[in-house]
Amino acid sequence: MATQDHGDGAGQGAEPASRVSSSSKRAATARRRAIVGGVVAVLVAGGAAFLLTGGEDGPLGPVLPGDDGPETPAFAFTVRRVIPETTTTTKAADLKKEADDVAGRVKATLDELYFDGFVESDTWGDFGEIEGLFDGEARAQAETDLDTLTLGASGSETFSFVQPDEGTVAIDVLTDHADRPVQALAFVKFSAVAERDDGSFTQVRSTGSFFLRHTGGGWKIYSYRVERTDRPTDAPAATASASAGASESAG
Amino acid sequence: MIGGTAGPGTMMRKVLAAILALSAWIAGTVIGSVGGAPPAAGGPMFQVGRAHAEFEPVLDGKEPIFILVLGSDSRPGTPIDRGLADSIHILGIDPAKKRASLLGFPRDSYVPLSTGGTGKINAAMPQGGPQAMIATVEKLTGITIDYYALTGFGGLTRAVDQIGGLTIDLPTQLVGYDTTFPAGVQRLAGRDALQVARTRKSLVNGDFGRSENQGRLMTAALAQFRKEFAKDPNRMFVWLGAGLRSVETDLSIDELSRLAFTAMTVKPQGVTNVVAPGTIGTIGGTSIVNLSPSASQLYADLKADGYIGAGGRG
Repeated sequence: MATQDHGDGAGQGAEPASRVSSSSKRAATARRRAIVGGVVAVLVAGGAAFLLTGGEDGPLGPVLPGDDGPETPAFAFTVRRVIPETTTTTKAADLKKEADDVAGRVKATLDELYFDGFVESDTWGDFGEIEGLFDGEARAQAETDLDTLTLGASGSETFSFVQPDEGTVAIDVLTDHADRPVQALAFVKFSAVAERDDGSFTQVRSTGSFFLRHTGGGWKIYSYRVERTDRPTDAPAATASASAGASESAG
Repeated sequence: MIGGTAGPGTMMRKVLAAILALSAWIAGTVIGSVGGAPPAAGGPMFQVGRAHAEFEPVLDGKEPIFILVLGSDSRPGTPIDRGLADSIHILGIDPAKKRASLLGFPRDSYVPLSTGGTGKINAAMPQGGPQAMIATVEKLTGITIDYYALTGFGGLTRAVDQIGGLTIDLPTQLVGYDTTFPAGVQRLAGRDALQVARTRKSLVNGDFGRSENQGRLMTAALAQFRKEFAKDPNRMFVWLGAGLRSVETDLSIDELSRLAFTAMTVKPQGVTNVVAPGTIGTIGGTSIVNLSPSASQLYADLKADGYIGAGGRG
């Protein structure tokens, strides 16, 4: 405010010479202060930016990529339910333990598919990372369907970071004539917020069903029906609040 | 003086403003470049994306698949594979063209038996089980059977109940042995389905009509399975469970799964339901069916690609 520049409260009519001289000194002082202030402000802004982005210890370290990239979030499905489906007269309830054991291995297969396919940026679009999870003819088809089953072959050209926020799976386990688990059907719901290279955000949802069977190499997918839906979304809450904090620090 | 000229205060404000703008630009550039809040109005926009991926391990290739579907009349105390085979159908599948045919045989068909001599076709099973039935049918038709599936009264009843009933469209009223089924679409419980499969005496064309109704039940099952699986893949396991608990077969679970996936590609309209033609006669006072020479054309047609053309539509 102008009146602050005249701290003595002057401002009326012509001023005496001594007071003009005094005003000049104050103006020079003010300029020096402004320059010093400006330098300080630049340093503060730079420091804030460094603190915010300079490492994993910064407040945005976990969510904003720094020079070394952000830390990849962990991801694992939550098993909602497991149901044994028998092909004998044995009661399903009597096979719950066997079904639960299989569900754990089926979940591991799907954890790996979604982690490598959606969460871990180093493996986006890398079919070699997930092809071992598929069996038989499904393997070749999965490569064709890579853009739906994962973030896509061009995922790393479009997205910079993915924060998973939900993953649930319901598993049915089919047993054979000797009550041994032989197949499983997993219903999957996965949701994540992906940050695009242009700074906008996309909510990525993947839902579907996977048939798996036991092979020598574990439980592998031999059939699937999956839908992926992408839609624009706001910044996730953690990032939004961190960004607000960054603005305050910078200002 | 307040305002009006560019005094020292105004200069300082400009310097401060410039510095703040520079700071904001620096901070904004640094943060923005690594993914801060997205641009507001005018920022990049993109459309909602939706993608679908599906793979089902269906049977493919040029070779047709033939399954002998048998219904045993075994009573309690008699093994299911030693009862008379009162329901006999060859299910042919043409994977290349995603179509199928059911060719039924009247149980009284008088044919050469694999177990020796000539007799009613259904007598082969008590003498040699499903393998004797397969050999007899192969000898009759020239078709090599890939698999068989065998069930009995109780098995059919249980299987239909365990899938929650079967919806069928009957072209005409059917007077069963204790129930009358009206023409049209209706839901059958297990015992109703068994009655539709077994009823013969009230039918104008007797055993031929019964065989046709049995084929109609199987086609209804195909239609219902397709509908249910499309809505909920879990129905595959429910149907497999119901089937394997009630049916004896040499198909493995993996093969059954593959067949089930293949069934999803075959529209019920693409299934022909045919009964081998013949005439009723007697031998030694026993009622028999003499299969017509024209039946040979059906066998050849089915053998060629697993499908009997529209001329034989049931």
